[in-house]
This record gives sequence, structure tokens and C-alpha cells, in this order.
Amino acid sequence: MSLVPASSYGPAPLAETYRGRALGPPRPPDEVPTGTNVLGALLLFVADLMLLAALVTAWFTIKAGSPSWPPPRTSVGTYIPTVVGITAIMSAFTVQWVVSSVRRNDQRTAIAALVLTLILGICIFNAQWYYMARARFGVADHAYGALFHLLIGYHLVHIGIAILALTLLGARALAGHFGRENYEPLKAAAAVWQYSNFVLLIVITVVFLFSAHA
Amino acid sequence: MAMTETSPGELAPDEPAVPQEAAPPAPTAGPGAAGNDHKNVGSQYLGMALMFLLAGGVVALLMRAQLASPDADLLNDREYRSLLTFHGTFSVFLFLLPAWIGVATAIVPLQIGAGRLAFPRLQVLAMWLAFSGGALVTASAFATGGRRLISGWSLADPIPEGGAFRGEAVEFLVIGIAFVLAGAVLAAANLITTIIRFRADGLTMRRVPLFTWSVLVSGIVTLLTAPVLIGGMGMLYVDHHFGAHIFSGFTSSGGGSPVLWPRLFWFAAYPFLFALLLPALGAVSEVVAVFARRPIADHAKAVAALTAVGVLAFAGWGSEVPTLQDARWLFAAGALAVLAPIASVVLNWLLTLKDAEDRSLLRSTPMMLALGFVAVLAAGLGASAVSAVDATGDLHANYWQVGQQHLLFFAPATIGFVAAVHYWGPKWWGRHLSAGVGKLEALLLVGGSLLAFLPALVLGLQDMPVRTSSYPGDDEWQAMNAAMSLGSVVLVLGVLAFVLNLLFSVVLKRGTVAPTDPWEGHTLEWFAPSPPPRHNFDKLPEVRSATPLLDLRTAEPAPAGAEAGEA
Repeated sequence: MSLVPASSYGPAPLAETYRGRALGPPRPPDEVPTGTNVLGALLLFVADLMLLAALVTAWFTIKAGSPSWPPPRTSVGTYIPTVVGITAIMSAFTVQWVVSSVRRNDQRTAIAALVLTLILGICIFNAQWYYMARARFGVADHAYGALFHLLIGYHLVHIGIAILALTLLGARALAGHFGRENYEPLKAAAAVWQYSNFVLLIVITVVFLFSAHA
Repeated sequence: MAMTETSPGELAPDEPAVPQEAAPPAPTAGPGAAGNDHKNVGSQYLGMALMFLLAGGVVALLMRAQLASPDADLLNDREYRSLLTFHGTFSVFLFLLPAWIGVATAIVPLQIGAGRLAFPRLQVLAMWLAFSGGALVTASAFATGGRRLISGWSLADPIPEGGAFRGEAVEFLVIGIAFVLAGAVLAAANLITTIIRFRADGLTMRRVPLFTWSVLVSGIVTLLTAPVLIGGMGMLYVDHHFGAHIFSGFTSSGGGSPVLWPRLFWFAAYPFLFALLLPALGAVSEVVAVFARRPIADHAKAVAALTAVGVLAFAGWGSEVPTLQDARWLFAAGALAVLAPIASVVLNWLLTLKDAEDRSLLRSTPMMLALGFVAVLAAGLGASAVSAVDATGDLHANYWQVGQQHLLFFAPATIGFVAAVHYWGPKWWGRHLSAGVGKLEALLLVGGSLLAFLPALVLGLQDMPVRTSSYPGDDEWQAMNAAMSLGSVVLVLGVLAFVLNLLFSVVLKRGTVAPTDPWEGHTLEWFAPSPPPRHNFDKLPEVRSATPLLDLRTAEPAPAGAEAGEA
């Protein structure tokens, strides 16, 4: 095997073969392989979960070293989180309903389901906001307060982003941008929605199921 | 940025004039716009990295000037320790991180035969996040309380909250670092998606070049650790800005936990340091194989070893946390285990070099830098093994720690980066960096690293504590401190030579015009013109192994020996 000098083959010649090897065209620059957007979103969800994991770690580390958790005379109630949880579960179904309607090319049902989902989302946002506002402690009062607001606020940010994404994509759906052949962006927005519900699940589990609340 | 202004029309005189397909006019917006070209974005990342490399070097020089002689009064203790904070922050978050993201952004799509990144505009957003983060960190030095940032880059001694840290400097610093890391998360997700979805036909995951593989592993580690650091920075911000007590001790109203921050920080920062070393291992793997004129001795083993570094990097973090003494043996095992795959990669290189066809090629600039990398890394591996098994914990509190971290992470990652720029520069910008100056750089950087950081190990044995800002004249520490200061001057000279080389050869276009494949490379990037057009490739060769271009060069005119080149 002898090595030929580097200059013996120049910049990609346009022949079909070169030194006995087939030369093929590269992927066209504007062609996006299937699953690219889904993979990118998935990776960002993983990163986002690691951020949540940092907050949850802080919660459990501090809880382990505290004489009482939550601190004495701190009551947050479980009524609103229960309502929020049930609403989130309902919205998880309606948002899938949007996607499946678009897949069936059923524009009218899709829009009805979309409006319903957005209303549920705004209810969740509103209830969480109200929950933070009526808590009788602030971020600065104790570590419990800081982490309580951080965790609930973390979900609030996510449901906010999900509402925004679904509103924008919903407007495009109204304009008839999506159909049986083409609904990936809508699917991605629905994934963001479901992810925000997943965050809620973790937050509720950490804040309520693993802490003594009267 | 001037560095990226390339003239595609200039080819070497001996290059055959090959008709290129007429390139479509560059759109001014959208994913395909010239500003979103991954080579441009990479160059801009590189510009930022070099700025902070110089800044970090100047800060280090100031610190070493203070410690060069006993009883010096150039800096007081507080000034020294605030400079230490900025030296660490600049080097890790604002130099090494953007440097490797920059090289990966420019080279990875070329190496896998892709025309673009998966999300071209996301990388631009990531770059601007890094820029703004860098600006915020810089601003923190000049903001109120900037002189009181004495906590070190781990922000742990002491945790910057409460009355002693009044002023917005802390907030600028933590938000700045969080911005840089947020950019790193986006860039990592983008690079991982590109590597998994945009590979050329035939380039299976098993055939992915080692640099691309190292970027994949490093990206996954970054994706898992940077968000934890962002969460930590966010909580520090809440503590400082809103007066919360997450990281402060127990108070009557229910405080937080002072042991939380070191655990949170080192759980993420420890693997993160390996994520910054990994691309250097990948880049040097490419350099070694290409200049040995043969494929790497065992490609599969190198892939497995790089992956193992990424996995085992998560095992040793507790050895940096003083409050986790009870579980020390566990983390010591982790800290030792991660060194084994690194050593395995180095052995793989040595086996490759053993059968090198042309020994004279070992004197070429990228190869000299690669060999220097091995020398420094070997010292780092030894020092790390010793501190991993040190049962007293002293070697984590004295200058052994300084020597070990610089010899294992910072010096090799920097030398590997310089080697990568020398190796891929001709492809990236179509201009060679000066080879003569490059050899001088190799000498200064490798010599400076050894001169600066081997004495640090001796100082560790003499029990000089980390963060010492002054020492009395009758001390045994004097000689080694003088050597370290001299080494730091040599290192900064090496960095200056590198930056000036880049400036003259590439920005001012004084460098030799590079042909398509100046090094007789093995991987697909050397099939694209130098510099590559916006879409990178007009045609791609068939890929049947990890070294498609080596196959092409050694192929018989008839398509026989289909698996040629597979090690």
C-alpha cells in the first residue's frame, strides 16, 4: 500500500467515482432528517430535569437537617394543589385530543380541543399564581419558603411557556398550516405541555407527598 | 469578525482547478443565512475564548507576581483571593468551555459529512448567551463589592451570601456564569443532535471519528451537569438578592444547609472538568493517527475509553467535598477509576505511534503539541492517582491540589486546544498557522506547564495551603514559588505566541494558503475545500470505515478490499 501525495485528489471532484470508490451527493442543506426536532427537544427536557433535580436535592438535603419541615406555623394547604393536579390531568388528555384531531384532518374538533386546553392551562397558571401569592411566607423567611416558591415557580414558568407555545401553534393551526402529513410542530408543543405536567407531578410529589402537611 | 473573512477563490497553485457547482446566493435570514454558518459561529466562540484566555493569564501573572518572593505586598489577602476567583472563573467557564464549543461547532459537522448543524440558529443564541455571560462576569469585577469576591471559582470559601458580600457583584457573577452555562446546554444539545441525526451515509456510530465521539460524550456530560450548576447559581442568586437562607446555616426561623452548596457544586463541576478534557483527548487522537499515517491502533477501544471517561467522571466528585469524609473510600475509588480510561487512550496513541511510517512527521507542529499534551497529562494522571488515595485529605487542601488540577485538566485542555487549532485551522480558515511559531508555542506551553505546576506538587508536600496570599521569608516554600512564577511567565509567553500566530496567519491572512488536505487526513472534513463553502460538501466519498479518506488514498483503482483501513 503506497501513500499518494495529498494533492493527488483535490477538492471534491464531481465525478461519480473516484479511485474506484463511489462519490455520492451529500444531504441537501435544507433537508432535515426525521426525528431531529424530537431529539433536540428530548435533550433539552433532560437538561431541564437536571435543573429541577438540583432544586429537589436542595429540598431534601435541607429537610434532612431541619428540626421541623415545614417550619412551625407554616401551613400551605393541599386544596389548590389537588385542584391544579386534576386540571393538569384533564389538560393532558385534551392536548392529545388536539394532536389526534389534526392527524385526522378534523379542523373543527382540533380548534375546540385547543381552546379547551388553553382554558385549562390558564386555570392551572392562575391557580398556581394564586397559591404562591396567598402563602403567608416569602422567599426570605426561611429555606422552606425559598424552595417552596422556587419549585412552584419552576412549574409556573413551564406552564407559561407551554401556554405560549400552544397559543402560537394554535394560531397556525387556525390558519390551516397543519394536517395529516404535517403536524410535527404541534406535536412538539403538545410534548412541551405534557412535560410541564410531568414537572408538576414531581413538584407535587416533593412538596406535598414527602413533607408533613397538616 | 475579521477572523472568519475567508476568500474561497484562493487555492494553492498546485491544486487542480475543479469546477464547483455554482453555489446558490446566501440568504440573509433563516437557518441557512451566512451569519448562522457553523464555521463562523465557531470562530466567534473562539474569539471570546481567546479574550478570556489572555485575561485569565494576566490575572494569573498578577497572582504569581505576588507569590514570586516572600513578604511581597503587591496585593493584600482580599485582593489576591478575588483575583483567584476571577482566574478560575475566566479559565473554566469563559475560556475552556467556549474554546471547545467553538472548535466542536466548526469541526464536528465537517467531520461527519454534514452541511450544517441540526439547529443553526440555536448555536447563535448559545453564542450570544455565552457573550452576555462573559460580559456580566467581567462587569462583576467592577460592580459594587467586586473586590470582595474572595470565594474562589467554586464559590464555596465562603459561600457568597450575607453581609460580607453586599453589592451587586455576586449577582452579576452568578447570573453571568448561569448565562454561559445555559448557552453551553443549548450548544451541547445542538451538537449531540447533529452527531446523531446528520451523519453522512455509511458513517455509522461505530465509525464516528474520535474527536466527534469525544464531543458527543462531553456534550452529554455537559447536558447533565451544567443545569445543576445553573440551579445552584439560581439559588445563590435568590439567597443573595432576596435574602433567602438556602445555603446559610440554621436560624431560629428555620435556615438552610451550609453543606449543600459544596455537594451541589462538585457533583456537577467535577464531571464538568472531565467534559472539558474530553474534546482534547479526541482532538489529540486525530492528530496522533494522522501524523502516524495509520488508523488509530484500536478504534473500538478508544471509543469505549472515551465513553468510560464520561461515565466514571461522575464517580469521584465527593473527594472534593470536605464534609463527605465518611464516604471517602467510595469517591477515592471513583477518582481513581476515571484515570484508567484516560491512560488507556494514551496507550492507544503510543501503540499507534509505535508503527508510525515516517518518524520525521513527529516533528510537525500539531504532533509536537500532541506529544507535549501526553507529557503534561502523564504528570497529571500520576498526581491525581496520588491525591485520590490520600486518606488524610491534606492533598486536597494544599498546593498538591493546584498542581494536580492544572496538570490533569487546565494545562492539557489548553495544549490540546492549541493543537486542535493548529491541526484544523487550515481547514477552518483556509490558512496555515505558522509552523515555526507553533513549535515555539509547544515548547513554551509544555515547558511552562511543567515548570509552573510540578513545583506546585512539591509545595503540596511542603504543606503550603491553597489560597495562600503571602509567606514569610525564612520559609522553605520560596524556591518552588519562584519556579512557579517563572513557569507562569513562560506559559503566558506561549499563549501570547499562539494568539499572535493566529492574528497574523489567519486574521491578517499572512499564513500559507492551505490545500484541501494538507496533513493527509483520515476523516471527511479533509474532503471539503479549504475553507469549506457554506454548504461544506459538493460530493462525499463512500464511507466504509472510520477512516474514509485513508481508504480513498490507499484504494486500488478497482473497488477491492472493502474494509480497508478498519483497524
